[in-house]
Amino acid sequence: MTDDHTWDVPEDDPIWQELVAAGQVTPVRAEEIERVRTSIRAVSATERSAARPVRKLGRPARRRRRMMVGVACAVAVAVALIALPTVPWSGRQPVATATASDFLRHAATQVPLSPAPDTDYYRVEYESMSTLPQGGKDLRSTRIVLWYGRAGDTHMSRNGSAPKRLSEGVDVAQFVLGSGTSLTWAEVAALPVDPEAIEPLLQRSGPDGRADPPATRFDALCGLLATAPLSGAQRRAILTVLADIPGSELLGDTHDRLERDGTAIEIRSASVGVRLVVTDSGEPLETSITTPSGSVMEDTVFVSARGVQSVRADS
Amino acid sequence: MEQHGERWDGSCRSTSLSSEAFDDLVPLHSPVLHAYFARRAGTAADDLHAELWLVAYASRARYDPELGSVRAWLLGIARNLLLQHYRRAAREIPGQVSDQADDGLDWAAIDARLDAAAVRPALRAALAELAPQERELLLYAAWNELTPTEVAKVMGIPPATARTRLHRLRRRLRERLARVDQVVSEEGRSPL
Repeated sequence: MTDDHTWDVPEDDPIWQELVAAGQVTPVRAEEIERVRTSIRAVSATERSAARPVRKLGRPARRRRRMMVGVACAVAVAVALIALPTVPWSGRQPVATATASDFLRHAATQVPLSPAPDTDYYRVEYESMSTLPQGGKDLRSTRIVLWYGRAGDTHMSRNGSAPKRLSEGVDVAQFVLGSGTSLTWAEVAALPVDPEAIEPLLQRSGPDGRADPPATRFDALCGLLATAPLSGAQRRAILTVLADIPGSELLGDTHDRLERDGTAIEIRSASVGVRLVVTDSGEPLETSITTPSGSVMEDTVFVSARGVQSVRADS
Repeated sequence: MEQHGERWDGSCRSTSLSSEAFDDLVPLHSPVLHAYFARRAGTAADDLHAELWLVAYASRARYDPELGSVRAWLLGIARNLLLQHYRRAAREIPGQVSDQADDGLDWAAIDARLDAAAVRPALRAALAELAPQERELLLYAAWNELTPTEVAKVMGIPPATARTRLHRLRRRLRERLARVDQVVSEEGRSPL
């Protein structure tokens, strides 16, 4: 018998019952619950996107990452101290008539029609920034380099360390299409160049074969553009699909954390926002996950992505 | 294409929290958590409730089933968010949080709830006589269907202390109201 069983639930105590009754409030609406679930799925999808390796639960590295992101989110949301926004605006306003959709459609036309990489590996370098537990204001930047192998192997270097092959048997999501679906290199190569043919894939790329909500879809496609070995035609198609996602807003000209010029586009759900900084030719520079109040929970700057023939620290 | 497919077994205590577990946890615990905010923060309840789940999701690696139930863990987060909400409100609109005790709780909001529920004045007065932490302990147990051990976890006090205090508080309330009833019957006065 636990201590709790010694607590006699005072069902026949009228005073207690009066107190309990005083606590009755209007029940939470079903829509509110669904909104929260959607937000959680969006954040979950964000964790899987940006081509970060997804490991099975319980792996130390995954746990550490979750801890870091967890603390970062908690600090950002709860204490609201993060000054990371930090995507400082240049002051230049977007063209008055332009919308996020217009911008992305135009960007799609600017993508060079280059072939997909024919190399054995696709090397992606990015920098991720989150808050540290100490003090709440400290920020830690982690430089990650991933080599995605055509054969399915993935190697990672963290902050300049020697590349290390991610263990076999570990679930590594190479290229994320949605919160429930990841693609192999071969599947990326087979992605359609017709936007209308991509759309049906997205309708079942979420959990349990369903469609992801717009913010999640937006974030997943940004990650795919930034990290997958796509051809120019495929990039054009994905940018067009991105343009068709409802709810995105063109914020204006800006530059990313590496001072590279770009344009900021944001899509928000009830509890999370996804902010993209993208070049005029549709190249993602930076994605940020924000709280409803706009505080940045996690920020990823895409440094480079290119085909290489081998896994080498200096490649 | 590979479908991510981790399943959660639905037990709150048998496993650490996977991201997929939240699909089940949200509908399971939202009624209690949303009600917690609704009683204490009124119209801000929806925002705080949504924020709570984001924080909980982000902090899920820190949840340890050995240290208590999921509900107690979530209510602990809710309590912290509520205190921050009060502090924020006090900064933004000075004077709005009029009855903020040393522990940071906005008792004016709770009193408004008691008013709305038409709690009899004698009980209101008896509650008002309690120290803030005692009131909080009592209302946590009554309004959130928590066991003493769970209340202890939320409030950061030993379980035995919570249990003892709850018994003592209930006895004090009974005695206080019995005295009022006695006065009423002897003097024919309305209570308080």
